[in-house]
Amino acid sequence: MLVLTRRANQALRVGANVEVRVVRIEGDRVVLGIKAPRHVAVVRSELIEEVSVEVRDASDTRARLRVMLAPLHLSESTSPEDPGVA
Amino acid sequence: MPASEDKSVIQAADASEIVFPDGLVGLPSLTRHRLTSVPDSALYELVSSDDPTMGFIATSADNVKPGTTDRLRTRGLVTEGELVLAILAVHGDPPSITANLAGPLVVDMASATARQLVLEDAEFPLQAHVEEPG
Repeated sequence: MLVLTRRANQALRVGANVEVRVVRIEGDRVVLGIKAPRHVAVVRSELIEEVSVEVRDASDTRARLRVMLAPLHLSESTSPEDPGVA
Repeated sequence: MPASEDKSVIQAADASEIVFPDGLVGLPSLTRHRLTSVPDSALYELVSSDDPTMGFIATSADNVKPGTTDRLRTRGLVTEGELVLAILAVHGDPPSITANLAGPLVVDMASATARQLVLEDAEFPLQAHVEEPG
């Protein structure tokens, strides 16, 4: 892992198009500003883990979900191309 | 009871093979899935072809939060014609249905490919409450 020291209002670049700037430091919190192209996803690492856990939970609870959703009759869609949004 | 009368069994039709080149978040090996639209509902079922024990029920993210697809399109995260799905789950006691808007699935039926986004935005929660069917 590359380790760099930066002060408030100093920045670093990742590749040609991403800039990470230290906006301010508040106690043990560092506020960062990030400039990146729209297609570059910028997310907290813990959010990735949270989404991963949620995906597994969704699979694990699918059987219960089937029962809870059984009364649903929202549309007559049968083709993925025709989502039949309610 | 015949299977067709068992309301706990979701009857699916017209399955489409969809490839997630990067897999799902936290499950990168699950790249191939069967996507079906559940008749008489706004639901989809996604079952992994790589691990059939892994599967999901989803609905259009717009059903949970209207305008989601347009917002993501504006941000350049979704292109015209792509379907944005929110995976549903059960949480809590008593159990309630939630939709994962923080990690929506974006499906391009034309190319039979899909990807999962991760949205760092409070307006797209991990567990958005979904009204249960009456």
